[in-house]
Amino acid sequence: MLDIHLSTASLYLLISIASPLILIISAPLFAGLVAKFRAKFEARKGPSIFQPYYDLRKLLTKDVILPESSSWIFRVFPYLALAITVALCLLVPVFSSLSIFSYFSDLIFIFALFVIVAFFMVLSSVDAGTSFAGLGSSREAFNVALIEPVILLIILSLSIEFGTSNLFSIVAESIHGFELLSHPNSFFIAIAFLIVILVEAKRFPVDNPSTHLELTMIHEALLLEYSGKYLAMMEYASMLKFTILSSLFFSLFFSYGMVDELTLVGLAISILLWLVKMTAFAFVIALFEKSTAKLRLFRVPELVSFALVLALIAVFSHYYIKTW
Amino acid sequence: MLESRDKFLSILIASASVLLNIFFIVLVYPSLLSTEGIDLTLYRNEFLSFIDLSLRLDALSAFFVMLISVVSILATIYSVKYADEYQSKYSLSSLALFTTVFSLSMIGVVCSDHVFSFLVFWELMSLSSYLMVIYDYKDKDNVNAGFIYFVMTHMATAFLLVAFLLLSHLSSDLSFGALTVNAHNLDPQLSLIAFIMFLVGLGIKMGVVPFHFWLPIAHPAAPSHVSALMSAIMVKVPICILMRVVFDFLVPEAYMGYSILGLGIVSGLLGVIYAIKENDIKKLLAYSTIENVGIVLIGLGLSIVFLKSNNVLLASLAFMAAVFHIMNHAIYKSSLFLGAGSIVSKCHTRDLNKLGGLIHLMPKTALFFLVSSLSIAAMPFFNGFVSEWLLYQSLIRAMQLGETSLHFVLPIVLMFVAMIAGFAFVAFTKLFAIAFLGYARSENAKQAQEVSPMMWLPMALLSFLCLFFGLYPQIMGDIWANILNRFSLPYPAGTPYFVFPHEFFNADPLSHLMFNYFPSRLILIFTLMILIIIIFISYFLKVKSKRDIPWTCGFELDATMQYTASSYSQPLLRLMKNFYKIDFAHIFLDIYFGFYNFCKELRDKVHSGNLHGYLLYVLLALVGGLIYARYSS
Repeated sequence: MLDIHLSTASLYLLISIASPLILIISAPLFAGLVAKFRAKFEARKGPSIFQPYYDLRKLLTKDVILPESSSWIFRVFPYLALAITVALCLLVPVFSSLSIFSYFSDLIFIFALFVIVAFFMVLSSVDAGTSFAGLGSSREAFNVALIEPVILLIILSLSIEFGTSNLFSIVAESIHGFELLSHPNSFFIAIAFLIVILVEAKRFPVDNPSTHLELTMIHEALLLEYSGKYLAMMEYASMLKFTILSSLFFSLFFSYGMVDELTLVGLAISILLWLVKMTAFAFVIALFEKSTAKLRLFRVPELVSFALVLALIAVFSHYYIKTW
Repeated sequence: MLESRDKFLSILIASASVLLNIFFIVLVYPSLLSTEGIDLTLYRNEFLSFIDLSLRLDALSAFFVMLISVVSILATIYSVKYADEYQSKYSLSSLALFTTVFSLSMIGVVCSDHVFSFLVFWELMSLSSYLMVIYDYKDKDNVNAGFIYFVMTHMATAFLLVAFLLLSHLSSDLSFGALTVNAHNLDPQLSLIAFIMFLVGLGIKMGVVPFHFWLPIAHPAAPSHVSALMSAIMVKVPICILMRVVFDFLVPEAYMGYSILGLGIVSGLLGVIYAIKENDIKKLLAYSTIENVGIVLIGLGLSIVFLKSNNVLLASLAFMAAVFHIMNHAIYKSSLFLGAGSIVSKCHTRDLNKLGGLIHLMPKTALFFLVSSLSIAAMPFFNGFVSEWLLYQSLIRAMQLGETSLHFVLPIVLMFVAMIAGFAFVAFTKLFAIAFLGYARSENAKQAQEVSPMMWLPMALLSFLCLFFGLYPQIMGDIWANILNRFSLPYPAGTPYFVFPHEFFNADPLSHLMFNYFPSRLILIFTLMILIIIIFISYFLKVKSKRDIPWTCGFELDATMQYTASSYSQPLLRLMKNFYKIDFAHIFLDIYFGFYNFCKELRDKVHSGNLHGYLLYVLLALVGGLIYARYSS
């Protein structure tokens, strides 16, 4: 075990550090891509795809206004939320199923980290002491409560299929192909996971990220009282969360192109394919946003129940559909 | 003069109690790790052999004694300053005395080795807690709460008496050792009835649905440190007895596992659903206790079910999750109740809608309350997550290795456990957010102050323990192994969940396909590293910050513009509204009074007052008796 070839070890380390770095750098790019595609569907020119980078840089230079009733929670929790989301990037397989962190990437833990980030965002928003703050927190807590069972059932289904809830092991097993999508239970899980992404990353039809109206905001209500660098941190954390979730979707269900050998060429191809996949995903999300109406808050449980039933069917079908 | 003497006496009793508990901790510590039990007979009567006060210290009782002692010490330290608000009205020394008797009697219950000693200590526990529930007797609500509590706890004792009588009919020796030996000779039907009696009796005390309705009435009525003891420890003692009942006194059967599992799911779900509705701090915490007891019962039920399916490793994993959750819940629930007590003592109200902005006035209490809330909502890095994670792992593993009949039950159980965790998130963000954050909603909250160090130091220690067990759960490994060994379950050593793997550079993730490591410490280290980087970067951003009132659409800012406790939970309340239409107390009262009225009418019909009717009864009885005597040989 100790006589690892030096170049192999360094490539290993390179992958383990490069994949979170690429996620971190490209997160605002994908938010920008979604905005661009959405604009194109509306027959507008739309902002540049790099606009989120410019926005974040602008926010970092602005002064900060703290609400009167806020406490250390308002100032500290954005740091914590961002740090945990960035630490999460280490655990997600993006290009390959090899990483020095592969032992530690437990699916339940990953989603629990998303929940603790939501906990911090909810509390820091209520600290501002306005009505909108409570509105955002209440709805966000509602969403978290609804989506927990679906997430656990998805993890259960994946674990049954692969015998472990370790993310890297699951990806390693299913690499090289569309295998996952050819099993009917995986198809159901993929749809349930898409609904989870919509709820967790707060996109249509659960939340409208482009309005600030009381009727349609959850994510914006959470961030309403933030300004300056805190707003930059929280916005970026949300963009990163969306990128991590989309990347996770592809690692689990469309892992074509991911490598399990340490070759530079393979890595480069994998990165390119990942960019293509994420762009396609941004396109699909924008298309979906423009073709449906936003759900009323009290209709969201219906959507989540749909995901729950799909996940349950997928879990039960493991024991009915043995071979394919 | 009288008051200061009373205060002096109460401090004396409190110190004695703390010293006694420290003595117990030191005494039982070796038993935590040894496989032999220590027997101690307090009193045995030569002529009446059923009068026997004997205790036995084995791994399970040592664990519970540690738990009781630690929480008692912290609650007693807290009560020294907390009880000052009762100083002019009631006797402080009585409160200290009752608390001491309460914790000693709980230690007696978990250690008892004979039916008689168990019943004596159980009654002592019930009586001392009743006296503390009605301690503030000038408030009529507390007296009513005490009455309901008294009735329910004696119903529990009645069921337990019947259950023990059923078990003891095979031998006259009522010691737990003899009952264990006789377990295999029991008739299965008798075993079933005894199990039902035990489940109902212990269930009433544990607060499982549908017998739970006394808990949210009685626990808030008691002084806060007593509520902490009751919620954290007293509801766990019946679980200890239930473990002994199922594994020792009766042969474990699948129906036992499924019934405990079912009760656990119902309690967990309904407990947290009702917790979300509550606007009274202590009632919310009491319902949350019901929820956590449900989770422990789910773990216990699963372990029995796995045992009967011959998956001993899974059974030990689920059992470990249950015992771990008992410990975790005791730690964070006592911290939460002590915090609630601090809030109540400074704001003189239990209503969430009158609080707000306390984080500025009570910063230390707020910090430790936050840590405990994070733990109880099962957030990673804290201990609540560890026991939930173990429960999830046992369910996930069972789906891979278990039998076919379990494959339908387990996903549903997993779904419910996840639902419980999700709803607990809402309940505790609501509690912390409305009580501590934002603007103060009333004068009560505006004049609050930080409590004295004797009141927040216990909370600090408990919060530290939450973080410690969340990051280093493997410290308890030997203790779990010993407890599992006492129930003849193997330690799940094949699954090194909490061990840091030695191999870091392994190019084959397929090799560790079966194991899931617990990444708390690693992620915490990376989070801290990234935090340092971010703080470093943000230091160089030279921006000014100022405080200002937030924009409120042009209206004058008013604290009532904030969300109230009910509005925070309104989406979920609306979704779950049908659950709030059930009134459990009235269901039982209706059944009881229905039966009572039926019996009364029957009696009125039979006791007609007519002499000829009575003579007819005599004739019928005589003829019936003669026929019976003739035809039964």
